Parts: sequence; C-alpha cells; structure tokens
Amino acid sequence: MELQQIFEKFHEIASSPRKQMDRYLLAGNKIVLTAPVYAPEELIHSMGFVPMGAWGADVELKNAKEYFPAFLCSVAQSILECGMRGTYKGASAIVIPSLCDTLKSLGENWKYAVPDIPFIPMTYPQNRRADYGISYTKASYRRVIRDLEKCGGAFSNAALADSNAIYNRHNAVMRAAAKMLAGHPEITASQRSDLFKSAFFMKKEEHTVLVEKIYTRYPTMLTIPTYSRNQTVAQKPISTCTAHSAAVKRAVRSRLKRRESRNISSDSSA
Amino acid sequence: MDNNKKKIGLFGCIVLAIGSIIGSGIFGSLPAGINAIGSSVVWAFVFAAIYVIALLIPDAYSMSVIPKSGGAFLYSNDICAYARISLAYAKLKSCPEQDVAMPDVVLCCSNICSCMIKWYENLAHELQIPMIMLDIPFNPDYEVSQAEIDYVAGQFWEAVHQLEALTGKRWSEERFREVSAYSCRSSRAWLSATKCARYVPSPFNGFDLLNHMAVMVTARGKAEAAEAMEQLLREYEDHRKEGTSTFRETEKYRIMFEGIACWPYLRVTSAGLKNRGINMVTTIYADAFGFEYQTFEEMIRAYCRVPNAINLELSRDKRIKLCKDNHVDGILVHTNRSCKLWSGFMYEMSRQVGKACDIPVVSFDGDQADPRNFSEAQYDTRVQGLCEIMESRQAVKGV
Repeated sequence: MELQQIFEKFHEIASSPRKQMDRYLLAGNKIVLTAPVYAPEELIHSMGFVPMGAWGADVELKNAKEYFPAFLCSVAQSILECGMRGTYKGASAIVIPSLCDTLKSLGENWKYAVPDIPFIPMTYPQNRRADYGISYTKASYRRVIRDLEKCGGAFSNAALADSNAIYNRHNAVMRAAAKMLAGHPEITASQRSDLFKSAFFMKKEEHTVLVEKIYTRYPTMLTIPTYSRNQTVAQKPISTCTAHSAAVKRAVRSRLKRRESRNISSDSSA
Repeated sequence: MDNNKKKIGLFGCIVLAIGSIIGSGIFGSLPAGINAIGSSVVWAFVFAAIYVIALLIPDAYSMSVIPKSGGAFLYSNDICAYARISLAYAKLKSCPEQDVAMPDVVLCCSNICSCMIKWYENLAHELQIPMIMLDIPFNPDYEVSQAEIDYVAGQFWEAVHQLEALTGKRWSEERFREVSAYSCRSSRAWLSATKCARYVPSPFNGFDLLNHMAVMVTARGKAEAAEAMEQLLREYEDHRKEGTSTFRETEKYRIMFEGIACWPYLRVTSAGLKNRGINMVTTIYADAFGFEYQTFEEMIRAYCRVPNAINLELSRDKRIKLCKDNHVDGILVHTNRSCKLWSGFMYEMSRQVGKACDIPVVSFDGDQADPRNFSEAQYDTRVQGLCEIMESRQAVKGV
C-alpha cells in the first residue's frame, strides 16, 4: 500500500464515521459511543464492544436547543444534536465522563433526548492519587462494567489485560508516528488530523496495523516498545497526599501568628 | 488593607504596554526583513513606530476614561461571574462597597461545579497561597454510594491533616461536635422557617429568604446564627398567627423561583413580581444551605446532595416536593449565564416539574452577578406571561 493510499484510507474513515459504524454493525459488532474525554475505552473494548468516539460534528444546532441554553459548549450540544437526529442509531450505549459541567449536563439530558441509546456515566475523582481516590476510580469503573453487562457485554480480567496490551501498543505507535511525522512536512496538517481522528472510529488493533504501514514507507523508523498483557505503563510513584512544602507552611503560620498578635493588641486597646 | 495595594508606576506602565505590544514575532521576522532590504530595515522600525502610536491613541484615550487599576489581566466572559469578581478582587484588593480580608489558604469544595476548581487554583496562584482540594463529584445516581462517602471521608481527614500542618492548630473532636451542633441547630430552624411558606397566605415574601440566607452561607456553625434563625422562625410563626406577612401586597399567586438569584437586579426582579401580587414562596437555593445530620457519615452524605451535585431525577423530585408542599401556582426559571451546570439540564428538569405539578413554567435570561446578561424588558414580559397563564387557570378553577 502506497503512502498516499494509507492516508486516503485514514481520510475516508475520519470523514465518514457513520459508514464505518455500519460496517462494524453489519459484521455483527456492537458499538459503544465514547464522549469526551478519557472514556475508559479499554474496558469497553475488553467487554466485546467497539468503542467509537462521539465528539460531535459541524452541524447546525436545532434539536439540542430544546435541552441546552445557547451558551453551553457547542461540542457537547452537537453530540446531543447528532444523537437526537439519529446519527448514532444502532449504538448499544454511550459512555460520558463527567469531567466538566457541560458534560455532566450532557449525560442528564441524553437520558431524555436520546432514550434509545442508554447513557453510562463515568465519574473520575479530582484527588485521584491517594488510596481513597484510587478506590473511588475503581468503583466508577465497576459501575461502567455493570452497565455494559446490561448491554450484553461480559467482563474478565484476562480480556482486560489483552485490551490493555492492544491499547498500550496503539498509544506507543501513535506517539512514535507523531514524533516521526514532525520531520516530514510533506504530510499535511489535514492528513495528520485524519490519522488521529480515524483512531476514534476504528478498532485499535486495526488502526495500529494501518499506522504501522506508514513506517514501512519511511526509512527513519523509530523504535516502538512492545507491551505484554500484564505490563503497566505508568511507573510513577503515587503519593498519598498533596503535601505542602515547609516554606509554604512557614509562610502560612507566620501570617496567622502576625494576625493573632494584631488581634490581641487591638482587643487589649479596646 | 491599603498596605496591600499594588500600584503600577509610570515606568511599570510603559514596560507593561511595550510587553503587550512586542511578541515573539519580532525575532522571527527581523532576519527575514534584513535579508530582504538590508540596512534599510531601520526605516521599517520608524514606520512601524508611527503605526503603533496611531494604534495606541484610541486605547490610551479609552483607558483614561475608565481610570481603574488592575493591569492587563482578563478572564473570559464565559466563566462564572462569581469567579471573575473574586479573581478581580484578589487582584485589586479593594472595592467601593466593603473590603474583605485576603485568605492565607484556600479550601476548595467542588460539589457545586467544576468551575470552582479552576477558580480556586487561580486564586491560590494569584495570591501565592496553598490550596486544599475537597472533591465532591457530581453524582449521576439517585442515592449517594458508599464509594462516594468513603472517597469524601478520606479527603476530609486529608484536609484536616493538611490544615494542621499548615496552621499548627490541632483537630479537636469536641470542637467539631460543638460546631456541628450549631450548624444543625441553625439548619433545623432555617428549614422550619422556609417551610412556613406552606401557609396560605405565606407569612413572608420569598425574597426575604435571599437576604437571610447569607447567614446560613457564611456562619451556620455559630451560636449567633442558630439564635438568628430561631428568631426568624418565631417571627414567621407570629406573622402566621396574626394573619400578617412581610409580603406587603395581596398574595394572588404563589411561585417557585428556580436558580440562583439575579443579584444585580434583586430589586427589579422582586418588584416585577410583587407589583402583580406574585409571591415567590419557595426556592431550592434557600433550602440548599440547611444540613441536618447525626453522624460524620450523614454529614458527608448531606454535602453530597447539594443542588448542583445531584442528577436530574433527584433534582426534579426535590423541586416537585417544594412546589406541592408550598401550593405553588407557577415556576419562574432563571436561565443563568454564569452557572453552566445549573442551567445545563434546567430546561428538561423544569418541564418535568411543571408537568408533575400541572403548573406553568416560564424562563428568563439573566446572570447571578454580571449585570450585562439581564434585560429588564424581557423579564417583565415573561413575568407578565406567567401571570396571565396563572390568572386564566385560576379563572377556570373558579378561584
């Protein structure tokens, strides 16, 4: 496959996600939509669904105005608009993480605006590194798993490990592609956009194969690490709290002390 | 307070202006210019200076018309106006109404919105003070899960340890119980007072609640707040016994006000109702600041159930209860530009409340703090419309 053909393929998929969705549905796959941002795609993939990005579209907002005031984020509004127009028809569910105020509203409105596609919430904690944050994240993932089971999915740790390996490999391939293409200005910004956008509408294992074909066309091949099933990528130590530095503590204490002494002197003068 | 004021002198002002005009482009375009015209590039600087001066004259003139200090800092109008006011005050440390003390630490609780987090991160950054983050996530379920309670409880204790380390003060179980007791006592009296709206006619004008609420927001853990709320309850009960009310007009219609008050136009929004005999008898906003609990876990549960942290169904049911308990004839919805979360599913929720209670729902555009997002004429028209619907329904019922 020539380089031009590879990018034409990316463009075709990136510009017509509905066609791609129909192909998967015809092949007997079940689709779960993933809204911005950080939907747990690995979980969805491991439970036998094809995760497909639902990041809105450049459409006129008409139906969504029944639910959203005009001043809310247009991305969230266009996701709802597409849902109401039937663009996502045939999807088994939509996972919407509540990482901003408009996304919280999107989930709540979705239940009534698009009742034929079940809404699955994913709640991430802000304090995620401490033990209680990790436990809460796990509980939220379990909630997603329970809802996906209702849509016909089946969870197993082994399948999740396989999906993690597929996603780690895909992430590594994409990082390497971004780095490599920085040295090839003949690949246009639109082509790069197609490369990344198409990843939202394909099974990651299929997208990985397609991206890897780019490498065979370029002599400056980068080393891409391989990941085994049970290997984790993040090795950073996890702190239990956001401890404040000694200098910050000293500054706060001295301010408090000064204020207290001021209060005492003003009390005694009164 | 005056000692904390930061002033920019003439030199600082000139440097600030130059800094905002010159960007990194000068370094990129200069070699290209020299390459093209050689030493004549000096003339390009002269011509550019004339152009820049011409460009700056209108700016300088308009700035002299509005001689406010603050510097070249700007937050988008799309951000909550409470956040913008707070950040502006942190910058100026002065305002005509009343100055307030600057904090040593910011304790951010995210149970009302995600905007809070960025607001307080900016405050901490601007003031160079530590921030403690207490995250209470939006709950997509009807009930509060044990996982959420455990997560919030873990953070409470973390916050306590952080405050101990920062201030040198120690946690006291006894003091906690004392403050909790006052808070619950204030809350009981406050919620009983707001429930007096169930009497027809109501013993109070609902806009009173928006004033008294300030005590619940800022001081509910104090003995004085508990005493004040108990006094308020006694007054409302007395009004009821005597057949009087703080609503000075004849109460023809009773409505629920939905959303945060339109503070810059409180008088206008109040008068627009009062003049038509409409009493705003209830609002979820007032009750949101009353918390009743017995145990630490129940306290956390209560803070996980504040209006903006709960799903549409629980939000709807709480409002249906308020409308039914207080014999409401209609709902006036404030579509609040500042509050994305409150306004985000308001349309659907208020439709469901209206349907469940069989009452009309009307909305108007406004803002909790930015005066530019409210039109008195639109408000008046909408209220008039609501009034006409309630009037015709009362006529049908033969009231």
